Amino acid sequence: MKRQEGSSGLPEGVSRPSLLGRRYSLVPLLPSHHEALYGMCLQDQIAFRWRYRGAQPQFEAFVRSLYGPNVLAQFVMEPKAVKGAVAGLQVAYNASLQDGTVYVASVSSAPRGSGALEGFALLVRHLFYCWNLRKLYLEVVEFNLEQFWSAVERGVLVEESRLREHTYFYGRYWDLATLVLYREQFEDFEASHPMLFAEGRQVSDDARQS
Amino acid sequence: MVPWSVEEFVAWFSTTMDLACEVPHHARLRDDLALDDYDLFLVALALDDLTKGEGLIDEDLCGSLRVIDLYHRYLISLSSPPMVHPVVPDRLT
Repeated sequence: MKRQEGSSGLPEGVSRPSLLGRRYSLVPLLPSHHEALYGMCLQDQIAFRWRYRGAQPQFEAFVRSLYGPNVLAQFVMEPKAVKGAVAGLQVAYNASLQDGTVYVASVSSAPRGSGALEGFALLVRHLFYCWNLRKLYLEVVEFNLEQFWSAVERGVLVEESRLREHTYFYGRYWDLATLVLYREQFEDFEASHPMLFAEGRQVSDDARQS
Repeated sequence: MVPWSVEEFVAWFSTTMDLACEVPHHARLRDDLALDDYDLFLVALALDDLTKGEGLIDEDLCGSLRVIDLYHRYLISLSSPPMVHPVVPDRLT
């Protein structure tokens, strides 16, 4: 029986999980990225927000921490306009494939602002394409919530737990919230914003055909 | 959060299509408008959809500034109901 194929080499109607967005690409984490990531994670606006919470691990310890056994997938976010530049890191970790859950984390260099969300959307799409996941968890310290609280108000993210006064910073304890992104919510988002992912598909297909 | 909707903003923008705006590089615009990163991301995506991605937003979405400027113009174009959030129009002139 002749198989029906689309331009991607996959059966008709099946898309590959492209890692190309409109302005950013996700690329595999390589040793060439380590120094830039180390510098980024120790920037004053990032150091206290990200996993090291103000501590400065030695470079070798930092690199080891990138490749922990609990990492499911991780990508460096690269601006398409500046090949090789490191704009951020997107990580999926602590997966329970039995339960269909995984934790996700995102860090980006200070000037990127809302651009980091494009990289995050690419990671999320990759995860839902490649694994039968139901729920993505984001652990967010209270003082980081304001960066994207409107996503909760709009129902894209759901707050499902909150540890009261869990995290110490600047003279007080802050709540630690767990936000959840459900597969259905992301699929609605993806369908509502086809332009975000359209270029990735186009470029991928062009590259394959060339 | 500012009382707004992406849909209303896009509808307004589609009637003006004013791309020739000066970008006020004022760091406090984000705070003045109380938009968070997700708000800005949605506006950028909506403008992408509207313009078919033809270079309206800067490459790195720091482009946020330009998005804010467009959104700010939308806000000050509203005459009723009055805005409840303090924008600072003199910074845009």
